[in-house]
Amino acid sequence: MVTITVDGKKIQAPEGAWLIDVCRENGIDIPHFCYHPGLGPDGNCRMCQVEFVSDRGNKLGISCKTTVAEGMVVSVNSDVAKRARASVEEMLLLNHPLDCPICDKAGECSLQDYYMEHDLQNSRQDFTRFRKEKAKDIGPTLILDQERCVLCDRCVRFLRDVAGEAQLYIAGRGHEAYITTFPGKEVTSPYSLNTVDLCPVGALTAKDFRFDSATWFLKNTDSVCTTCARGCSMQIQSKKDQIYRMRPRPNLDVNGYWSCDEGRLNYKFVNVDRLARPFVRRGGETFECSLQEAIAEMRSTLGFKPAGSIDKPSAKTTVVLLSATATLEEMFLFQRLAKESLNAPIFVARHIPDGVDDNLLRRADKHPNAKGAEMLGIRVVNLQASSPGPEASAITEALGSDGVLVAVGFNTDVAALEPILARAKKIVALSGCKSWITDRADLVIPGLTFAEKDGLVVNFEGHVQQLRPTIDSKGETEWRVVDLLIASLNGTKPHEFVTQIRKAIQDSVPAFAGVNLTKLGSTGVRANAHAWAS
Amino acid sequence: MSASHKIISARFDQKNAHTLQGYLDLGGYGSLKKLFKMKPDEVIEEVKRSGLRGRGGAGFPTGMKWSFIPKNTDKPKYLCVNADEGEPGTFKDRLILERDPHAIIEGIVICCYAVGIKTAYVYIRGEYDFPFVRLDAAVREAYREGYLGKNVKGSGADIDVVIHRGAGAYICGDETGLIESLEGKKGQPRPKPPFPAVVGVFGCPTVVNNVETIAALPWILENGAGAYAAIGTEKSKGTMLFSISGMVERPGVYEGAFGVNLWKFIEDSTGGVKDGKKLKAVIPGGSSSAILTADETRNVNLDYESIAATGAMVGSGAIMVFDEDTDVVKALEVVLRFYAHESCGQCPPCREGTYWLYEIVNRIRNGKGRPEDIDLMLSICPDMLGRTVCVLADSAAIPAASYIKKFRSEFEAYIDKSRLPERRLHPGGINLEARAL
Repeated sequence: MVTITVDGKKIQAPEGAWLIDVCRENGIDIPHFCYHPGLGPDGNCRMCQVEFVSDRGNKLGISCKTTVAEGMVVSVNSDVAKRARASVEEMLLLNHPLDCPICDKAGECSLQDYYMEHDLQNSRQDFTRFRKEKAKDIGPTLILDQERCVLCDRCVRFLRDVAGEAQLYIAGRGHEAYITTFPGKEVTSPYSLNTVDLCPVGALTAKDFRFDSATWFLKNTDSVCTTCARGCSMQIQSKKDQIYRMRPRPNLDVNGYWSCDEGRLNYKFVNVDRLARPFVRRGGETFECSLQEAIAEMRSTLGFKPAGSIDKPSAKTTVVLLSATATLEEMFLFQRLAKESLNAPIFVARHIPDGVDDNLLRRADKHPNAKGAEMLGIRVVNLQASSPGPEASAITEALGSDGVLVAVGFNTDVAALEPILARAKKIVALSGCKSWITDRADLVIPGLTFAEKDGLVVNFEGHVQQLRPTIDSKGETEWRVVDLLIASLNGTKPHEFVTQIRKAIQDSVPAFAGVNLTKLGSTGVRANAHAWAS
Repeated sequence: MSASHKIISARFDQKNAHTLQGYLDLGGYGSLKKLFKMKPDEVIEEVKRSGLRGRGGAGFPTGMKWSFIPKNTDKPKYLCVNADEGEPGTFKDRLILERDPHAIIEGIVICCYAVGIKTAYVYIRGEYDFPFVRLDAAVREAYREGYLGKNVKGSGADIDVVIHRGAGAYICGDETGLIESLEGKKGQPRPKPPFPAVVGVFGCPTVVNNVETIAALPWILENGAGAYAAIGTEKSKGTMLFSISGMVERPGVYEGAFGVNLWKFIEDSTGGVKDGKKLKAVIPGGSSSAILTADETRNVNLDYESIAATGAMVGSGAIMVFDEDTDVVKALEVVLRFYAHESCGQCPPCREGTYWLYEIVNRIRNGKGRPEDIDLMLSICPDMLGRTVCVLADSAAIPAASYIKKFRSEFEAYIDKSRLPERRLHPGGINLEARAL
């Protein structure tokens, strides 16, 4: 450890750390463009200049490419340092098009922010601004505006050093330099949209978000990506109960600073083919009903007498089948229902076909919570193939000839479920979106999607993170439906808060022992580090 | 100038000095016998004692540069000979490459032996076609006769020389820009530290020396560091090649010892200002140096320290002489156009600043200047000094500031001239054109 002084404040820092990192960790934000914690320093933007004080005279230097040394004295906010940064800002704005009113980045643009901090003067530029290409289509996800670019090189370095394939480069030199793709090629990286987050200005914009909303109208919610078993920490941005954009949040335990394009664009189903109210299907006709009526109907479907009479499970054979996209609370409560009230087998199905596995983030397993099912001790079955495999027959056998299937959380059509659905005499479905299952179920209770519910998911490494509701929903969350059912079967009072269920999980499931599930924070906690290892 | 001061240029006028036989006839490769009897560390000490400084422009002591190379490293070490002579006004290395290429090879052998290098790259400027032909031929000859290759002349040292031709970017003359280019990347200087002595070509320790520095080594080794250090001043030792151009009677490359009066040296070598005109100004060290007025030129000595005291620099020894008819504003426009064109574009102060300065001086020259433009340029210059990865921004800002400060009246004359006919002012001071709008 070494001791340095920054603006008169003594700071202990590990030897060899970058000065800009040390300052940030101690609450001193030094302006920067080319540096990024996930990419490291490059040293080209000159925006992070600070003044190094010494007996031999003060000297300006960049803080991103300087390692801390014992006795180093730095002024970040001296007049000289501020003037140096203001002049860099002025230079960058010389040929900047200043189309902020129509720029997607406005409001979260470093160039804007630093101008407000440092410069705040009119441009002294009075020659014709240099023209470069605008709105250039450079791939399936990106639009490039070369005029807005400050040539910080972040996108180039990300694609080359992190995503693994160089797909952008800086062509030309001097004031004529510009970012572009290689001749005849496009940016096709599955991680391409990270360059939009990395871009400190509006040079790279996402086709998906282009001209959709001013950034300051968006409400941010810290949540988790549910597209694969990685479970990247995400920030969901919404306006008027519509999701506009998802962006990765830094979480060094899970996703670093990045996320894949597939995951961050997988929010559109939230607004498509949603079910509004519970309904019952009798003789081919559907009848909408209230949640209380639906729960009463569910009781009788499962073979119980009407509410008010506490009775033992009937002889009706029941199978509970959950999607591996369900949250930990839902799995836990359905497990309790199956075990204690129904005496029925419970399965968690991996039903989404495997995707691509790479060594950056993407996992082949497209379910966010298969690990959670494993940790709860529920059998996980594979229903990914279109024809039923040996694992599907375990379910059909358990159903027998007149069994009831309770299918939870299947928001998409699942081909392998077809023979199971055909075998089941009655089907109770809880799902957020219309699908084959809801088309055939005898009772349908609408569920919620990841964007609307509060719940836990466990990624493939055993890292528990919390989904937080982003947009309002008219429906009832799945855990409450099953909780109401359990309460009505047992004659007990239902839970009031979801955290009560989390408390029950951490108290009763050995895999989660010693983990505080009720206070996860924004980056979650690693479960197996505590219980599974011991 | 006495003949004893012809060290690097001694063989320039000798017939066939560029061939191995001609070089050997003139006593070439004479230092190698002495070299291989010395220990590598002794060679470094010898070069340190000679006081030889880098002749590429920065004037860094050569022996010290060599001693920065880590001794205990598993990595290979490299030598890069910087023959990317691109500074406007400089053409001295070209003569060495064309007329005395074996001196460079002999110098390379000395440096490689001293530092423990097995591979030397010569990065030669793309435009230097004939110098490349001569050096290439010399390298082939040297390989054939065992001055390069495995076990050089029985010393046990293996030394290879690879000639790399640049593609014409000025910035590749910067040592880290050169290294990037040599590695096959875009020529863009790297932030330092780490310095090339630690992380250079392909991430390995690297010495980067100018052609002239390397060519001075054989003489130093043969005649001893003391003999070299006896020439020149206390801190600027030895001799240097000066490329003198501009309005003089006989422009050319002249070798001179440090410590003489600058104007006397120019006059003695070239015969003074052309056609007997009056001297206006002198650029002593290439286009990136500050300018010296006639008075300053007559009163300054030609050595690193004295020239630095005036705010200018010896640089690469490119002396450009302006006579009384030279248009300083046009000269600055030419200089700034060059730097705006050659900026690599990494750092905003350089990328934008060089072009901004060029734009302003360009409009002054074209009769569209405004009175405030001069002060605007002067306020931009300090924002470019020492703010960037390499010194290209400084190279534009220093001449701009010095030309304006020393010849401000000429800039003002341009602006006054341009204002009179177009902008007719009302006697009361109201701009008629503005009111018409």
